[in-house]
Amino acid sequence: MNENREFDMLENADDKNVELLANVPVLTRKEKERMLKMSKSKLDKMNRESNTEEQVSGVEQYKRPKWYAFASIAACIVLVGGIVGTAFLMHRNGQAPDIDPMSEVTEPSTESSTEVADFNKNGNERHFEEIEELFSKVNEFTFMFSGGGVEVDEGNNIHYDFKGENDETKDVRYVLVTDERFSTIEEVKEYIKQYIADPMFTSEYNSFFVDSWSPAVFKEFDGKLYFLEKDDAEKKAYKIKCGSQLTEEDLAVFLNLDSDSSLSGVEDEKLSFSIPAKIDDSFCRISGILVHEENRNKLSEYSIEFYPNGESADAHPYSVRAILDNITEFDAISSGAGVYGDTSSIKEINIDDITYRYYRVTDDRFSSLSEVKSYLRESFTDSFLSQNDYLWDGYSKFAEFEGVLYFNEAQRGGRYTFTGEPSVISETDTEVTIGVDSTLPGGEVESLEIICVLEDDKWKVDSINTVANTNAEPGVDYVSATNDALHTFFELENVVFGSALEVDGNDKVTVNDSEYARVTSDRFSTVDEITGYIREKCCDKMLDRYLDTDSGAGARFIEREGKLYAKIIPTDDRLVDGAVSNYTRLDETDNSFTIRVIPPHRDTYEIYVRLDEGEWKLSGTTL
Amino acid sequence: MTGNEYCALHRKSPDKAYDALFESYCDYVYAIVFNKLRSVASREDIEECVSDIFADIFFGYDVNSDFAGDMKGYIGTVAKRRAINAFHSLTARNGHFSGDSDEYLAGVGSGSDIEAEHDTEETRNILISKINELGEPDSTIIFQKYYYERSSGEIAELLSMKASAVRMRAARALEKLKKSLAAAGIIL
Repeated sequence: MNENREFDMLENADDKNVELLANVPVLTRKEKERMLKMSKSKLDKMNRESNTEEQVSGVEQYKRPKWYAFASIAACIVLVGGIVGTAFLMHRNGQAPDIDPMSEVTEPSTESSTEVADFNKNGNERHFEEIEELFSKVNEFTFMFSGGGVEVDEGNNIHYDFKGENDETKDVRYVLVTDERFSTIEEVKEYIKQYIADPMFTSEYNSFFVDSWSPAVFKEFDGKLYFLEKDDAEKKAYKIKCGSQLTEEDLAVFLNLDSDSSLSGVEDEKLSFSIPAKIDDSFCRISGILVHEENRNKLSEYSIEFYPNGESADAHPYSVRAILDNITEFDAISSGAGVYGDTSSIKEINIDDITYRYYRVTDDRFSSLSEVKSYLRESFTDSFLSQNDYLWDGYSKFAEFEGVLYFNEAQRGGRYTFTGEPSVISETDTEVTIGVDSTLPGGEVESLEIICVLEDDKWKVDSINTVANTNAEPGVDYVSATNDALHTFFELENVVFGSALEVDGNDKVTVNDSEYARVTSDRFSTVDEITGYIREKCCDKMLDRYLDTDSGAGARFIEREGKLYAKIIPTDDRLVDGAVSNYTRLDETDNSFTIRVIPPHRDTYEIYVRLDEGEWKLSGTTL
Repeated sequence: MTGNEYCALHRKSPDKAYDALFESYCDYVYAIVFNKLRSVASREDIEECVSDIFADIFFGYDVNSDFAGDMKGYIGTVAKRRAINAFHSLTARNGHFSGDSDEYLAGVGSGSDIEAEHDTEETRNILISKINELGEPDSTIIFQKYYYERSSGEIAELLSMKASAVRMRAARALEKLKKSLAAAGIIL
């Protein structure tokens, strides 16, 4: 209360002087936010009380936005939809529904139907507005953890040595946070927890506060809060649009898709919702749960189901966003960052004096090796998966011990970080090529072409190829050349020493005590074709490596009766993984460079690349 | 913000309309409430009253109205009415009427002290004009520190200055103000 009595005379001022006093900047952003929040929560209370009165008087006082209008209709059919949905699912699973749908529909559970009905009258609008607000917060957090949206003092920064995978040290620059919303890590967490319930906070956001395979986004140094700001945050952070952020055109599309909103559950305890939404330009449905904590509803979980691009009438529509999300998920699974496991349940195996630690997988998506494969086969072709069979072959990522699924605990960064808007380069009824940029671990941007094919009525990723970087600075495009070289290297290693070519295990011949299986792949049908391909891609010592008659292609492939046969070799003898995410480029000159590969469990090795008659070719390796 | 603008925004998104209305008028409403409750309320009470006012406006404003003028008049009226109510309930809760509240009630109740009220207003106008004569940022600092009771740290943050600089400027400006007011016959 007032201690400065001298200025009491300014109290009870007339309108003119009050206006003058109103021009004095006095409220901080934090105070304004606090008061606005308080106002809205008071308004909610008033609306609730008023709606109760409305029920008595039957007078509708305020208009609903169009979206909420069909949202409410949808809520009415939730219960029935649930039962029909269950019956439908059972039917799909090949079991005849063991209920009489009519009797269920006409005699629904009284308790549930009352709850649903009450929502419609008492404030679906409020809950849908809450959901919209929560997703605007989710967007805010996504942006924040992508490296943007936090007020900082650019001039006040600290360099931090981040120890990444393989104990490599990276210099990371943190800038001082001047944001009014928070000044400690605890305050950032509290800020998020105002909107996000605990289990989701732990699973989705907690990792951003600790160093893992990437540095923590927030850090405290000398009691001050610092932020890892990134220039491309805006590009990287996706945005979820729902409710009033959807345009009339969007709503028309959702109506076409027959996509309504629904809400069910127990008010002030737990509500399930399902709403139409857009992520960037992709149409989707978001389903989730709100829980009531600390006098407000918080987001406890949500999942996204994408609708196909274009018209729902298409025979086999596809969603670019869903395809990219599948790749991101694959990346997360193959890197280890996206597999849920019990790190206290460890198995150790020793191969060649190296101890590999595997932790028990507790992921809902799969509990056995075959389930991992089935899961990935939903979105990736067999050809793509055979290129990436390091997941389950050799020193694999996944392994089963006594029927229990384990995952190799070493984690590495993801390979793909999509940036910018993807585009459809070409499409036919059965094949789509998507172009998108991706930021490499070192910060460089590569352009990718993702080829998807229609298989079993599903669009699956068949290959991901790096294309020439047209935005590159004039001069040597080392980024594209490096990616091409790595791609060629892994392909050749797998053709010559691995299992890149499909074989027919039933058509075998034995030569000098070695077994050979007939190659069924369309790519090569003679030894000459393979060696021709090697010559096209390699020079110098690399030619020796792959054409060696004792160990290279000369020893691996033979022809019998006009057919190509490949020597059967144990998968453990494979020398390299199918892909790496951690590599650096050294010794760049106009006509040569070196790629240093740092694989997760092996010694670092190098690949030499040289310009030969205008083409970049592999010229050697330290392997 | 005009009534039409608010209604149009409300039709698109009530939440956005609330945000925009609050952003446009929160300083104004805060100034009204602070001016009425400064002597009897804590900062929390004042914030509570401001949020009550906005909740009233969000709830009560007819979004189907075709009022095209500035909403400031309406908002000012709701704010003053709410602030006076808060003044009554706070003084009743505190179990006493301060000298200011007596003065206030006397002013409202009888209208007999019109001359005294006129003198107060005259003095107030002089004070405000003398503060304004200090120039920026000193006039703002004086209002923030001695009228709005903000700490030097808070003022420093609002004005992007160092707290020590605010303290120094505030002390010097107050000294200067006192002299200038004394010359006009007012002792602070």
